[in-house]
Amino acid sequence: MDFLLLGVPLVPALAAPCAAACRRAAWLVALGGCGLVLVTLLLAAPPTVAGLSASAEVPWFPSLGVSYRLRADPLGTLFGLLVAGVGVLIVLYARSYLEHEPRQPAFFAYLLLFTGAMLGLVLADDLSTLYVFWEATSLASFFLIGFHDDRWDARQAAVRALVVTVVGGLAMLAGFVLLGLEAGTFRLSEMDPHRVQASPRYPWVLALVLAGAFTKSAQLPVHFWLPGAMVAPTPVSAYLHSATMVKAGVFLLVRLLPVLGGTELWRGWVLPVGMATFLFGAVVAVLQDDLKALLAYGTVSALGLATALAGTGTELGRDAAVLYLLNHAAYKGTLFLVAGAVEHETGTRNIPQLRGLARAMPVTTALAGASVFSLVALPGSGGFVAKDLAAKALGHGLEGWLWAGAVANAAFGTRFLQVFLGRGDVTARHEPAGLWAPALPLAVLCVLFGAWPPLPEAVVGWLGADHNVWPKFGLGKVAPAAAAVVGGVGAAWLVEQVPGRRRVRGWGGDHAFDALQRTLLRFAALLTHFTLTGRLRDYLVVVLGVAAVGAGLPLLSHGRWPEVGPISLEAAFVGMAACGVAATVLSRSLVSAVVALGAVGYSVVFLFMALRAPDVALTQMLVETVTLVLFLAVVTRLLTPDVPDRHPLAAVDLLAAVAVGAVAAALAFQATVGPPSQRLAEFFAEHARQAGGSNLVNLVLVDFRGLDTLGEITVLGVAALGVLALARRPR
Amino acid sequence: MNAAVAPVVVPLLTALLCVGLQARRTRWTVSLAGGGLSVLASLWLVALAHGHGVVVLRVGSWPAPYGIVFAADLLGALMSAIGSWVALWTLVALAAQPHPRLDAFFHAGWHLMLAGMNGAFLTGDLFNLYVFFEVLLVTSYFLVTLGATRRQAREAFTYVAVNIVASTILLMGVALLYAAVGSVNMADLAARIPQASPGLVRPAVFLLAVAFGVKAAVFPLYAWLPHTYAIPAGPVAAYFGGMLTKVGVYALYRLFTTLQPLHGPEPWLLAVAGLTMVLGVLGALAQEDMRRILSFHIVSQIGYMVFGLGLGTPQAWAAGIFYTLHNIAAKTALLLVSSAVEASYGTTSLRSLAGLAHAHPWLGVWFVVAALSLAGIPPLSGFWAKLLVVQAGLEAGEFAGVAVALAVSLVTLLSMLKIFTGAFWGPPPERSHISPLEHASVVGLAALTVAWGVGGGTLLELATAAARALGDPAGYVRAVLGGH
Amino acid sequence: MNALLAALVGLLFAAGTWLLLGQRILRQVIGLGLISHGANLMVLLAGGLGGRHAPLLANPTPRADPLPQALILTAIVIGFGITAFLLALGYRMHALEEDEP
Repeated sequence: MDFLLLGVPLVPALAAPCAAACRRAAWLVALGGCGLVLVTLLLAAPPTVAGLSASAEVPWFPSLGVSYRLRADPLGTLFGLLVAGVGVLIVLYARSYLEHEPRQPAFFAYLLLFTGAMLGLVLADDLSTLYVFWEATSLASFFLIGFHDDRWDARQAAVRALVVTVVGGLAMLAGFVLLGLEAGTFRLSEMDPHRVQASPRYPWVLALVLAGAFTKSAQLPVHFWLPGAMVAPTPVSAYLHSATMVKAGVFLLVRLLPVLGGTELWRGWVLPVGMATFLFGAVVAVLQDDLKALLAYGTVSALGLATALAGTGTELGRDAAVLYLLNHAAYKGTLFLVAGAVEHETGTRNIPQLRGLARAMPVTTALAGASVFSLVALPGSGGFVAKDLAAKALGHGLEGWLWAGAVANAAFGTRFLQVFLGRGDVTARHEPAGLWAPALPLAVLCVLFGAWPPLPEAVVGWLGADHNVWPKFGLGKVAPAAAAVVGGVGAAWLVEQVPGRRRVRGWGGDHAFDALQRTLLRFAALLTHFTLTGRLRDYLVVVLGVAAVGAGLPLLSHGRWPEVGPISLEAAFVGMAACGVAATVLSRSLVSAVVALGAVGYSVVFLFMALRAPDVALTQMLVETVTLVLFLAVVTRLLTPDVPDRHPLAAVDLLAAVAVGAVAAALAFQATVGPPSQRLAEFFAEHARQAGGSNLVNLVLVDFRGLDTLGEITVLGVAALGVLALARRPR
Repeated sequence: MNAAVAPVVVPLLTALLCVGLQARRTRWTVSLAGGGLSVLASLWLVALAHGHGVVVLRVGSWPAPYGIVFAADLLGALMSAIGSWVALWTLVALAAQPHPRLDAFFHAGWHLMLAGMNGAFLTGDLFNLYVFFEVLLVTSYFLVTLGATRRQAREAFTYVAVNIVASTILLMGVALLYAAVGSVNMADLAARIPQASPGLVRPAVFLLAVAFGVKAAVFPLYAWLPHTYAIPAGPVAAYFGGMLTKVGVYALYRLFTTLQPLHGPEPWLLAVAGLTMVLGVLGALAQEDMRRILSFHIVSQIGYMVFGLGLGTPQAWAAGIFYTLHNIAAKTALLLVSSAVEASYGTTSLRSLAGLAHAHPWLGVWFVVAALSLAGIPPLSGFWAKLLVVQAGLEAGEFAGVAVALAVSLVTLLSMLKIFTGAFWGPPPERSHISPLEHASVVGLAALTVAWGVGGGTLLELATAAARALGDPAGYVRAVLGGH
Repeated sequence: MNALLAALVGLLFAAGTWLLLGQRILRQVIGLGLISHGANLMVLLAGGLGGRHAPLLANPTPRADPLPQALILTAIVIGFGITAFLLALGYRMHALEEDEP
């Protein structure tokens, strides 16, 4: 059983290439993949109820303490069932929705990759394993959002979503590493909360991990990628961006609650963000005209509430969050599938244009009704149960907020439903079963959660809670709910009446992102323009300048003053060389400069002779002669280009030259400090006979350090080849 | 043992053979076979170095420090192994492209460059390092200018001139060290530098650092790289981009772990690393051409390797080594993709390309794999490399550096997305053919990044062992000088 | 004497840098040539100037240090190869028989 567990995330991932390869049966492969893991998880569930969690581990990087470790505890298995179950439904839906899509195999492949990654995320028991799957879900989402990559807005939305979640992910990575260092282990199930929370780095860990959770679950202010992601095909929106992936952030909060949660800091940071997002999302949703955008903001709002519940830091809050998320998956999933069906049959998602679809799409209308019923949390729906528990968890003081949110929920729920009511021009053709049948189980769950007590009790009990969940139905509860509904309907009607109402977009979030991106690009271009001028001279100034300064500075503090030796006859040659150098710099014509260089070279020859280096002198003479010839040969064939002799800032050149010269002279002088070492020379002298010669320099070149000479010859050979290649006339 | 010099001798012999052969097909076979043999020779050396420590060969049987010694420790062996691997697969990519100018001398140049590179990795003598650098550089000059137009010659001149200056600076550094210590053998230097006069040693070490830094393209000495790497044909640029700068990185590691070992974080080195990371990636972001973006990334990624070096602990060095090896694989794979695109479509400009993923799905897959690896996305090798660096940085307390490293990886991802959404997504183009050999060359490198991502434990073990050896310069000195 | 030689090294480097930073290709090559002379002389200085006799076995001590001389030799030859290459490159950049832009 344990090893089967390891395969749960991998099976869909491995099935992905198979799906990509199949033409017609890609959906079947996908169905099989999701179904297989669903069955596996169903089998894994019963033991966990009794408290026995299966876990499996494969060491990955033992020296890092990283292993691939999964654990099927109640929370993970519950979410796993959610992912796999909804996955099966989505595959069936997508089969009909995308029946005319030529790239279906690729779609199902990406879907399978996502499913595998998401399952790995919820079952992970090791921080690195979790992180790997976390990023994998972001990646899969990128490819799914950008599925219709010929559209510019799809590409933009995909990039935006990926970047925002990766930014959060990077922060989370740092947070995880710190957490692992503080806790002494990367295994989630083995962390000691007291040790972590007492550590001085705890606030940093919390902040970084929250960054990851908030970006993934679209909290304010990093929520804006979610509405943009609605360009993805509707199955994707239903699966990833409402039912599963976006819940990962809240899931992480719940997962880390035992370790990081329960402190003042936790409550103080998480709760306000969640509540703000809850209210913001709901209000903005009311103002949307696009079915999917409306639902997207609704999801933002729901995630906000779930985050807030996790932010309470209590066990009650945790249970409320999980229940709320499950309920949300049921009703929001249905709503998305309904929206997709509407778009599929009418060709539009625009609310003002759609009316009276109930006639042509009766079943769909019923499903929509059931889910909105749960959305507005009327008694008898799952939403009511979830909201009730949420109110209990949040405690006093926040009831007003909850009620305001409920009004907004009712408002956008009404706006959604009005598509089906009344009389309209746009009609649907028919109602394919493939588009409503997968939504049916979800809609049933919406009602079941609220009408059948054992279900929510079992879920919460599975998580280990020992409090009861079922609300007491009394006027005190029903009246506010009913009032909220009335208020919501009124608000919706108000919104409809206002003429010329602007389509409210992301409240600047995505504009800020795009502006940020543009600024970054502009800054980068400017910087590059200034640092990479394209001129050799600038690069050389930098290199030589750095070398001169860096090598010269130590001399100021550590340089020893060597003794000045007597001046001998060789000084004449030095003078000769100096004159030659002056001539190279000052001569106007190129030929005379070249000849002056030759003069310098020959002076150096004499210097070598005077300094007791005959072999070197000989070689230098040969080389200098040939070089001179080459120079003159080239000089005569060259055009002088029409460029100024020197960069306008010639003073910089002068400064650089003086600096380099001064440092070089100082270093050369410094090199004569102290008596020269005789170690190597003595060895060479002693072994000369063995090496078979009497000219020591010769012997060094040919025997003692023959490898250098081999390299030297190679350089010469290749240089010759290069010269040949360059001198040849091009074809 | 002879194994220490085998990765130099095998390419050398291959080069000579290639010059001697007339028939084109035989020459290609010999060339590829020679490349494969070089890989095997280096892997053999890796096994030996891992099992027995530093593998020492006295050339001419003269003991160090009087003669030249080859001292192949695990780091050098690993670098020569990956270098040989890259040389082989980029040669495969070349085989796919029709090249009238690929005559015998080209093959010779290719293998001589590999010989020079391996020599630089394996030698234990500082002046010999200078000579092998020159061999490497001259062959690179040759390969860059082969078939060059006037404009390309102009860019090549910049490359040559900057490197000549760097080589001269290197020579000066060697001279100063000789004046200070009396030999040019690395182990001997390592043993005697602590007692030598700082007025000579400090400038010398700095000069060496500058020279190696130019070759490694660190800030502020990196400006020559983006221009240069845009010149040569695709696979040649891939070979350069993958390996040449890493020779400089290796030399920096050798300088600061063996010759003048670091004993903890070195602030200026970390600052240089950070600036390199940032400026490189910003440069990449500003480009509109796939190849130029990738060239700037080379600079940025060097920053990570130097960051690992600058943290100054064997754990950080292991991270840097792992990062270097991973980066070579991923970077070369990306450059080979770019080269394949250029060969078939004639351009790598993002404005002209679109929809490549639809025309060449597998190429798209490999691009994504290599690009994500470079950006550090799990479960590929780049993620582990990044994690190691982050961990080493956090343990050393360098929070600013870690933040920079993470931010830069995000921007790296952004620029990769720019390439992907610009060239690979979008309406599919007029389909052009990309040869299976080119696919194969990409796979040869991209597969490494996948393998090291999923099963990188072995590589990490090797990198850690290599770093441990670096942290024990006394052991190195003993092995080289202490009689064998 | 060592001071004088050191000064010459400095002069060579200064002049070489000055020429190298200019815009004319051939003068840049000349500048590189001057710089390499300077570097070679520095290697010789590093070996010490105390030797009275050339490093031949037949000569009595004190002999000049053969190692720096061997190193310079190698550097000279390598430098020569690269200078030749540079000249050819310069030729390519500005060749009279112009065929491409």
